[in-house]
Amino acid sequence: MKNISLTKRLIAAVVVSQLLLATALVVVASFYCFHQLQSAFDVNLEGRALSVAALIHYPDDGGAGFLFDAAKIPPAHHEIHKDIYLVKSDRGDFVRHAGEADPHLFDAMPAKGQYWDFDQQGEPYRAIILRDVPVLDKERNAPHPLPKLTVMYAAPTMDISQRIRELAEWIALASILLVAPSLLLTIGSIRRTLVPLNSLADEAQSISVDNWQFRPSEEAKAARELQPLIDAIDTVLAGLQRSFKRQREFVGDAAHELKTSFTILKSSWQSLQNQPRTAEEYRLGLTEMSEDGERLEQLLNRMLLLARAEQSAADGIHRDLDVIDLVATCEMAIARIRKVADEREIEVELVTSDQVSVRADPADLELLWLNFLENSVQASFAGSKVKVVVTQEGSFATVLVSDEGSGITKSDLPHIFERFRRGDPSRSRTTGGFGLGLAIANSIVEAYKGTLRADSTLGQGTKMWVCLPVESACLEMEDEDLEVRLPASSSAH
Amino acid sequence: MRVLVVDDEKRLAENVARTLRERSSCAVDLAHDGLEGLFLAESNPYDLLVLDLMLPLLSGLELLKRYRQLGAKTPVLILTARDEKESVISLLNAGADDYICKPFDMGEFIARSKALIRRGKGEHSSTIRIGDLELDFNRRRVVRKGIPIRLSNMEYRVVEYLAHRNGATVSKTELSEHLYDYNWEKFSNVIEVYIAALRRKIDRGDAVKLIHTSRGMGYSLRVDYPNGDEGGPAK
Repeated sequence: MKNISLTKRLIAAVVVSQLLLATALVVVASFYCFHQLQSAFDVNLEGRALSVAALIHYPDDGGAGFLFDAAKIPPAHHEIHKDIYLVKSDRGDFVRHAGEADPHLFDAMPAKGQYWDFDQQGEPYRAIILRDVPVLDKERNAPHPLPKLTVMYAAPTMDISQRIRELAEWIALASILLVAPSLLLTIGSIRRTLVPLNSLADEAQSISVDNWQFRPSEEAKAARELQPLIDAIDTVLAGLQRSFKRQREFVGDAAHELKTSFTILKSSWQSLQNQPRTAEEYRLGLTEMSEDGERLEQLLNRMLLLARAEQSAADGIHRDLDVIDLVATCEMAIARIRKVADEREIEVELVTSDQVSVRADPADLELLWLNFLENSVQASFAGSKVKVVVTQEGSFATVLVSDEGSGITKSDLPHIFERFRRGDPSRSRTTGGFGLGLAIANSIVEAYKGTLRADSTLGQGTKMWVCLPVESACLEMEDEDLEVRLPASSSAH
Repeated sequence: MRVLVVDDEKRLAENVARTLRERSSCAVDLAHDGLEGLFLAESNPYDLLVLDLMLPLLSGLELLKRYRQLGAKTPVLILTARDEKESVISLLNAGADDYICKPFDMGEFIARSKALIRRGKGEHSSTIRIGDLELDFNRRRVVRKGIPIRLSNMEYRVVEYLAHRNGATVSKTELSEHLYDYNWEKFSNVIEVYIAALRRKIDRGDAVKLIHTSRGMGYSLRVDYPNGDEGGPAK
């Protein structure tokens, strides 16, 4: 794209508009003056024509015909291009004209109107025609009826165009003299006006990955038009900074977990190397090291799962998803936790009606329930119960996972979905948790555009609700079923 | 030497303890949370504390601060997975003597813990010479007049501790406190057995006796002064 400078554009616009204005002024003023001068000229012309007519008189002796005293014609304005006139009587018995002027010049006279323009020897002339002018000489011996005269008078208009030209030159000169300082003023004020914009641009330019400071200058803040821009930059920066911080924290936390897990593995093999050992000791050591390795592998898997789930949560799921039964995924997850639950003497119960159709990847949902169940089973006391209740209301399916375990403290509850967060570090460490399960669950729910809610009472247990949109095509046939068969579970909300 | 290891990662704590026992002949106690660690540290005379920072119940840093407030002079080695400058500075300010970043090398860990123990006893060299007896703490070798002396693990612990005490008389109680971990049944006559064995291995056939018994007070390892207080061979 072509680079344009706003300042230059504005200045160009101002220059062009001022020049246009000056030109228009010259044109309008010239036009106006021309009209003024011409009407004055016309009046003058009429006066001269009349004065020519006034020179005609009857002979004193009472004879027929007219007398015309050409010497009394008022002197022409112009030395070289003389005025031209022609006087004739309506009876055709008297025609007088001036100088070398060809009387046929007046033949070009328009049919209508009093004035017309023509060229005479390359000079512009303006002419007037006065028709039916009576002879002013009112003698007794005037013939009857009174003869009428036609007077035509033309004078060079050179004077007018000369004056118009001079006037235009004057106006143009004055315009230029006025436009120059006004342009300077305007350019200065444009530059001054653009100072906030420039300062904002400079400030925005200084933003980088290392420098999150965005402090627009006072001038920029004072400009109302820039406010939305400043607000937008602020918002974007804050968002970016937040996600950068989160990313950094994640990397820091991940590094910490990886280091810890790797430290254990390393310490295991290095302490095995302290001294020569028996085969049995080596066997034991290797078993320990493979456990450590598995733990490390588990951590890596979890971190990959989380990264994948977060990716899906942020960008949406771009896979072709089938309509599946949500209850079946719950059953699968329960089957997978069953062994651990049995070892700890914890009962896992599934309360549900018919199948609930959702469009999802069954592996994702199974992982989701498994994460909740792992937490519940870990928090539960021997002999207690973990319940999974699936209900459907309208276009949403709700899965409630509840336990009667140790619960989560009020201060920890808002943070349980954060990464690497453990409710009670001492317990979670020994059970091999990494504090990633609920963060993964949170991201999966987000990816499927569902909602997640947790409630817990210390010492009484924890409840987690997941709301997922169901596939609407299969909605009608399941609605009634649910109401009848699950009156108890719907009251859990 | 007796060391307390406080780390909530049990496997790591056990591996560290095993290495300390096997490679520097230390008696090692383990604690898996901050409170237990503080309790053990307060109630036993340790020669070194190995502390993890991220501990349940009471953080390593807090434990360290409280421990130092009690006036304890025992050197403290911190295990940390975070190597940011601020946390290192706050650690050292809180009274830590050294730190090691995870994942650490066991060899380096042992070297650092030995150095800390040594410095805690006012000893800067890794070898000590008492008369014609030479002790090399790094290689755990005891040599007299150029002849290496083979010692059992416990015998070495006794002679190492006595050597670190710089000729001072060390009571049986002190010896057993620094040579055995928390779980050991303390029989004071066991110490006498080790002393007798050491005397046999180190002093036999030598005119200059190095191991001395102060009756009712304890033992010392030193070159006998001409007018030594109650020096001389034991019964």
